[in-house]
Amino acid sequence: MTPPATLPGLRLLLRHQLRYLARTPAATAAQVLGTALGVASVVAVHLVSERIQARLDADSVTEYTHILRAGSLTEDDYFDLRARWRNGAVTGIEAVVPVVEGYAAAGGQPRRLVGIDMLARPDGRVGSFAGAKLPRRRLLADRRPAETGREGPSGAAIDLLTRNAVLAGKALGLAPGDVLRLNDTEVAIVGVFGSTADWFVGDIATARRVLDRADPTAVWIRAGADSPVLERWLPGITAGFRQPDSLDLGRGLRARPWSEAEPTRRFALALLFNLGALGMLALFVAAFLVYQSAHANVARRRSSDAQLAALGVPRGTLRLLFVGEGILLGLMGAGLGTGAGWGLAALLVQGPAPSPDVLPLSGVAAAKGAVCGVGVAALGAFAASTRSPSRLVPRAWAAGAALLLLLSAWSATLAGAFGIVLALCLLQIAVLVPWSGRALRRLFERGSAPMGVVHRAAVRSVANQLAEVHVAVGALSVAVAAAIGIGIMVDSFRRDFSGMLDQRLWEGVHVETAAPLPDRAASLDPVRAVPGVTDVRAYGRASVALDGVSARVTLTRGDAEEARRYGYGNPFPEAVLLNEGGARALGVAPGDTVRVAGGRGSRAVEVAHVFRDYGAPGPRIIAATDQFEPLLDGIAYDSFSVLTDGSQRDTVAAALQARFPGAVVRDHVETRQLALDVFDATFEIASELTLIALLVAVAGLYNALSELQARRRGENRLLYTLGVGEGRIALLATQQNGVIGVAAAVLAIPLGLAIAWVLCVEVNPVAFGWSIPWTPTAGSILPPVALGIAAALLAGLAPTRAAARAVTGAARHELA
Amino acid sequence: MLQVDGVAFQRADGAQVRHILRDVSFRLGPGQVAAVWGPSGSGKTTLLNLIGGLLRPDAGAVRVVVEGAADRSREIAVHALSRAGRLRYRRRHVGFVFQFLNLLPTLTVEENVLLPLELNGLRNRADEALGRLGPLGIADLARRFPDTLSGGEQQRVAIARALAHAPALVLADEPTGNLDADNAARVADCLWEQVRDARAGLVLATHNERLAERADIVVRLRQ
Repeated sequence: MTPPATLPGLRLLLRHQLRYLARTPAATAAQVLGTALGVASVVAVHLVSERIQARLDADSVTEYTHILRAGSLTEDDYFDLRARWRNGAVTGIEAVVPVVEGYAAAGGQPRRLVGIDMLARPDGRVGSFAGAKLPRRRLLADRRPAETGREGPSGAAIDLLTRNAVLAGKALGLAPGDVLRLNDTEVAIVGVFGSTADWFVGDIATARRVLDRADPTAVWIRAGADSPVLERWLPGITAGFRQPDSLDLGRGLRARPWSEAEPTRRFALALLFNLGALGMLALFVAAFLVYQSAHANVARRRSSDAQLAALGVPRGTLRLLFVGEGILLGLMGAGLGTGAGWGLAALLVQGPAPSPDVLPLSGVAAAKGAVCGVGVAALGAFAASTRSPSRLVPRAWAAGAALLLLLSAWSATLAGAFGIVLALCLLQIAVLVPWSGRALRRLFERGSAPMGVVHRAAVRSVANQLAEVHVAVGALSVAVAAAIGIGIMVDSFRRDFSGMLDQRLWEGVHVETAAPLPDRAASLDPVRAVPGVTDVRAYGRASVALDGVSARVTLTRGDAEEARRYGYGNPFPEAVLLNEGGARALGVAPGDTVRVAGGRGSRAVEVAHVFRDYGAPGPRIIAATDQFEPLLDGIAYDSFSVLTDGSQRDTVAAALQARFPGAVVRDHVETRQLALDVFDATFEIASELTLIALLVAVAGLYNALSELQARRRGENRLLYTLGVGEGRIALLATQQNGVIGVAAAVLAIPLGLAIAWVLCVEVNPVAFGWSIPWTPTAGSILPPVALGIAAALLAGLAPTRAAARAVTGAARHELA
Repeated sequence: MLQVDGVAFQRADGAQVRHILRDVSFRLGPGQVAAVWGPSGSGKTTLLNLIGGLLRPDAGAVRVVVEGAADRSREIAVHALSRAGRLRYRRRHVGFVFQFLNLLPTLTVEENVLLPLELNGLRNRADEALGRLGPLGIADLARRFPDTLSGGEQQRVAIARALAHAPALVLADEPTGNLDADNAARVADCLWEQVRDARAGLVLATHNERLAERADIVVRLRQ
């Protein structure tokens, strides 16, 4: 019977373990640094996601979920709503904020001004403008900038409340301290917000004075978040979950989701969601790096481990020691990695120049890094100290991945789509990489390969060891695949989105009036007479039932010009255009017939075309006014497009603002540019985050290649003794690393295509009701593949040199 | 064919200098066997390293007479060769048999035997080299990988590989050290027979007295 390990024995074992770590500083440092790099990527990706989320909040007000806009909305209506909400009559709401919004002349240019009641929210937050999530206590306790000598949000807050002061969108190019006239009121700029915003934000009182309007134009509402904890840990991911419905506020008031009222909001959510998905992939790759580092650190001691086991040290005691060591080194790596990740994130979001805007390190980011570093390191050490880790662990992964794939395939939800991506990544690491190693070995075992004996030995060695270093090779493969998948998705998305903007936003200005136009002709005929206006198109909105399913209808002219806005070339006087979400919900395709039922009757109509709709999650049809108006009740003609010849858009916008007070007037050219700017800025960061994932994978591969070359030391010594020079041994090692890089990169292509397909065709439709055309191009695939191969060669440089040096140093004394 | 004259080798051990070998001299003719005998730590392996060109002596000389072009013999002063020269000498003129780690695990028996030929660009001698598998009793193992062979079989493959490129010298370090008595005797017989057939010289490091007694020359090393 094996005697239990006594305390003195444990003390000696601990001493043995610590001395081993101290005597192999390079290997110990490799684990700490590997863990640090993994943690750094997790922390950096998280902090960058948080910052982008805040930036998108500032640009498109994503913090609020609904908007109540009614033509006759008065301050009394708002106070009544607030009273009912506070009494509990209206539930599920976190904040109700009255807003006065409109256009004001600034230096001859009409500029949007949004006035928010900054003291309206019970939690004291005013929004994310300028990063100014300011607690009310601080707002009220804050002193004037003149007294504190400070500028910026904290100093600015009191100014916003007490004098005519506003925050300026960064795109306006203004700075704190500037003074300008908005309409006839002199206002001071006390802060800058957003990145691409070209509008002003101020307190509601300031907006009232500037716009000369007493009643609010809208009420912004924040409904309770579905998964606040998940959102904190994976910023952006819940943007793809269920989208909010309309809110019934009683007394005939109904708040619309922001995503319906503001298409750019939906777009921002799409960006946030895809960023969240990228963060998950980075976490996945980092976890594998940490696992690989911890596993390698324990695996290198198999022989001394076996000696101790032979001496009677219980397996459980050894495992405990290794897991303890994993936790210790994981803690060191997590500490280093958190600092490095913080610095990296600051570099990514702020650039190399010193900035006074210090990126805060959130507790969640630090905790996430610590869990990834310490937890996964302990897991890796545990797995490496089990009896047959090389067989048990991949089989467990493969079984888990297969189960996940099975469950996900049945689920038509976003979680299901993500499950598919995760399962594919796991299968890549646990099954495909080891399998390809075996296939490679079989291919070269037959001896038919046209290469020399020495090279054959080297390739077979890699093929044998691919099964053992499959975690690192798989992680590199997943990182390359993520780069391919995201690259294809982003390219496809941008191409499609840009094309959609070109179609939909024709030259001119779009106006959403605060109330439906009572007499279209009387209201719009004068607009046609404005210089520069070439056409005016009114849009009516109403609710209908489409084959019994609730839907929205937009009434307009059924001519070819309107059809082209939706990617269809023909007039559709009798038919309708149906959005993609509607076609999906109803299961119809172009040429099918649907029954449109309104308040006054119904009729069967043909679906002429299915169009992509980035602004509407539910079914929506575009129909010709003259044919469908007689069927419908309650049509609201509350928006119209003014087509211009392009020369006088600003003047036209200002004229429209004057004619329709309280209306939201948007220049299509600016809207288009704003959307594309936000798109490019976000995905530029996304590509940098993908690069971080790739770097992390390279570090993992470095560990694996070092382990591989260490195992090959005996073979290399033998070759050296037989007369193979150091240079040739280094060349062989490089070829082995090249084979690994090529294997990882080639295996990444199908996975990358699959990830792109799932993101484009499964995730986005489920999350947002639209699909992105899956259009892989060589430009999306080849650069990550080349990068993967180069990364493998780069990761192999140091182990290759070590392999060549080892034979000269060690062979002389230990061999022959 | 092999002349070792007054060879000495020392190694720095911290501040002290440790003398591994002092004034070792012997001569060996073609087809002869020299047994280097001594207790553990006496420098047997170091002497083989010096003869094989893996190390350079601090004093003395190692000379080997080899067959050159047009059957003209020439002498190689191994101790004076550069690193690259010693690499070429080892590759072309020396065969090795070790106690462990003899064969590349990723090559078949046949490929392991062909390895020295490929390194020397002598693939035209493949038939001759592989023909040695029959007399060694391992012809039917040609397509097998080393991890499927017994210890004795692996050592016989190592002998075939050591002689494949017709070296002037075969250096064997405890070639029977990990074999049982019967297998050790069979492997030793094979080694003797093959080396004499090839007219190569064999330098054998061993602490097995019975094996040393079979040698033509015994070089005794003391601690």
